[in-house]
Amino acid sequence: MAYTIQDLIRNEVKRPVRQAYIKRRDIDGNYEAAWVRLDIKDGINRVINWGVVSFDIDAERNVLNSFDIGSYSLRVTNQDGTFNSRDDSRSLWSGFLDHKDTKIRVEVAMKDPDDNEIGLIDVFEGVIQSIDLRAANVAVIKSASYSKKLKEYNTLDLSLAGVKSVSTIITSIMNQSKITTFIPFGNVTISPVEDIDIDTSVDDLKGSYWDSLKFLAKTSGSTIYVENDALDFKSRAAAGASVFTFAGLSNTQTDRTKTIYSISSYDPAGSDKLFTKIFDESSGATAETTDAILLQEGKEITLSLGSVNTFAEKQDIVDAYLARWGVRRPSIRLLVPFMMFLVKPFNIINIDNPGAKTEIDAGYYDASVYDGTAVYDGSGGSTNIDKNVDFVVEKAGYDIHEWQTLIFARQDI
Amino acid sequence: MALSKKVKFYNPNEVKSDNTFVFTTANTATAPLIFDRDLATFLVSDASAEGVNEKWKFTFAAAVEIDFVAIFGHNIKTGNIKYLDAGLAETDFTSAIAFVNNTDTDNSYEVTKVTAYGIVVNCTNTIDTGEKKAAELIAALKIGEVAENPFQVAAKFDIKADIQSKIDGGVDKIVNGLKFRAKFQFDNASESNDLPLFLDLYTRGRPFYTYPGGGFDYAKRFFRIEDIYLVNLINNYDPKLPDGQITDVGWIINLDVKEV
Repeated sequence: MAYTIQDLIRNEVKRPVRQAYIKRRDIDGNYEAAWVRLDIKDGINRVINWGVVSFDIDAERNVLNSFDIGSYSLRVTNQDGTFNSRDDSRSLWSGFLDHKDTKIRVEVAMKDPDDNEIGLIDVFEGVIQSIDLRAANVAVIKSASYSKKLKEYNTLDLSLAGVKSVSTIITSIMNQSKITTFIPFGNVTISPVEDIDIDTSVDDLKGSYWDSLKFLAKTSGSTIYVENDALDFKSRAAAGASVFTFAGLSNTQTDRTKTIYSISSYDPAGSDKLFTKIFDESSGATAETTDAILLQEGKEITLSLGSVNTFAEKQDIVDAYLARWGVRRPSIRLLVPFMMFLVKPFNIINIDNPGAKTEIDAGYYDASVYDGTAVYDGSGGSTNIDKNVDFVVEKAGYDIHEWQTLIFARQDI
Repeated sequence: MALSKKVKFYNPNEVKSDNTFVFTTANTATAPLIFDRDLATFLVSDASAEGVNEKWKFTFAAAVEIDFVAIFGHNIKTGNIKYLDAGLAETDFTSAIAFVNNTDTDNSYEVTKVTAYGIVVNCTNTIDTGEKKAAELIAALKIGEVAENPFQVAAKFDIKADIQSKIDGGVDKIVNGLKFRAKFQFDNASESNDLPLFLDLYTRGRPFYTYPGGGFDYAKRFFRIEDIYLVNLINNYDPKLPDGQITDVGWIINLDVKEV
C-alpha cells in the first residue's frame, strides 16, 4: 500500500525520522559544497533533544507588528569533543572557521508501516550562533534563522538617497551577495500591501537591515515571514485552499480519527487584536469603523507615518489596517500531531470540533462520536467550532522532539 | 539452551565515516548504510551486471589491528573479503574469506590478527541475481571472550515511545527507536580471565560490541549470527562470592548492557 504523508500524520502509530546537517566555512570563509551529517556518526545517535522550531507572523498577542527572528536549539552528546572549538583537534570544526555562522539544516520525514521514508522536508535552516558546552558532556547548539544576518549590517551602507518605494528599498537590502549567500534573491517575495514612497533620510532607516525591514513592514501594512532560506514581505492574507481539517470532538470526518490533542484557548471575540480606530500622528489621517458596537469593543492604535511621502498614501495605509484589524477575528490555539510542515503561517485550516454532545435521550452514548440523529441536541461545550470556518495560521510551533505542533490561528474574514 | 560458543566482546567497527571509500558502481555517498548498525538499510551496487565484479574498498584513516570480520544482510554468491596490507594490496586473511556458491546471507569470521590498512569486499555473482548488496560490514578487534558463559541472559528490546493523549482520550504512539538491552548473569566467572575482562569493559572510554551467540547461529533472536550489538555497561562493577566461600569458586556478577 502506498501511504501519503497525510495518512501517516493521521496514523495512530508514528515513526519519525529526524536528520541534521551543517556546512562549515573554510579558513577563507567559503562554505563547503556538501552538507555534513551532524546528528549521527558511525551509526551512533548524538542528539539528546531535537528542540522546537517556530514560524510565525505577528508573533505577540495584543501587539501589532511584532517580528521575531526565529531561533532553534539542538542538544547533543559531546563526550568525544566533536562539538568543541576548532582549537580542539577532535572537533568537527578543526581546520575550519569556528562555530559561528556555520549553516545548519534539520529535515524530517516519517516511516510508513513498510519502512519507507515519506515526506522528507526541511523544517529549519539557519546559522549557528554558538555552541555551549555544558556539564555531563552535553553541548547545546544555538541557531538563528537567516534573518539574523540582517541584523549584522547597517542600512546606512546602502547610501540610500531621496524618495524610494518600499519594494526598491527591500531590493537594495536583499539583493547583495552578503545576504544572498544565505537567502537567495530568487527566494525573496516583495509584495508590500501598499508600495508607498518613503523619504530615505528618516531615522527609521538608519538602523540594521532588519530594523529597516520591520519599519517598512509597519509602514506599508505588510508582514515579514522567514522560512528557511526564503523571505516573504507581503500581505497577511491567506493563501490557497485549506491544507488540513483537524478533527476533534464529535467531528463528522468519515474515519472519525481525532487529529487534535488539545485546544488550549479559543477566543470567539478575537479581542486580543481588534483595532477599530487607526490614527496617524504625523498627518491626522484616520480610519474608524462605522459599526457602533465594534467601536466600543475595539482598541485604538496610533501609527507614525511621517516618512510616507503623501497624505493619500498615509490614508491608504490606515484604511488597510482598519480593513484587516477592524473586524472580530476569533482566534484559537491548539496542540496537534506533528504536521510535517504541511501547516505554516498564511495557510488556511479548518477545525471540525462541534464539541462533546449532550444527551437528550435516555441511555449511554459515546460523546465523542456524532450520532447524526435526534439523540444529541447538536451543540455542546464551550469550543463549538464549525468545520466550514476557515482559520489562517499565524504561528506553527514544530516540536521536533515531542513530535507535535502548536498552532495559533485566526479566523479568516 | 546451552551456549556452545562463548560470549565475546569487540572494539567498535573500523569500517566507519573516516574511511576513504572506492566502489565500482555503488554510490560512495551511501557508504554509511553499511556501517549504520541498521540491518534494514543496504549499500547497493548500481547497474552491476551478474558475472562482473563489484569491489567495495574501505581504506582506514590509519592502520589498525583486526581479528574479526562480519558481513550481514548480503547476497554474495561468488566473492571474497580481503584486507589491505601496508602496500595497500588486497591480501587474504590466514584463513581466506571466500564465497563459492554461497547461500548464506549472514556471516562472521574470527581471523588471525592482522595489521590492516583497509578492507575490501568483492562480489561477482549474487544469490538472487540482483544488484550486489550488504546491510552491515564489520572489521574489529576482539577485546576478549568469557571463560565461563553466563548461566542466564535476559535480553530484550527497549522501545523508546512517547504516548500522546488525544482530545477524546485516545492515544497516539510516537515510536522514536528500539534498542537492545541485556543482563548477563554469571555465577562462575573466572578470577583470571573474566573479572579483568569485565573490569576493562566497565572502565574503557568507548562502547564495545557484545556478541551473545559468539558467532554460532542459534537461530534464536539475540543469539543469531547477525545479532551483535554496540553497547555500554549501565550497572556497577560488583562481583560477589557465594556466602562463606573464598576459594575454589567462581564469581557472581551481572553485566547490564544497553545499546548505544
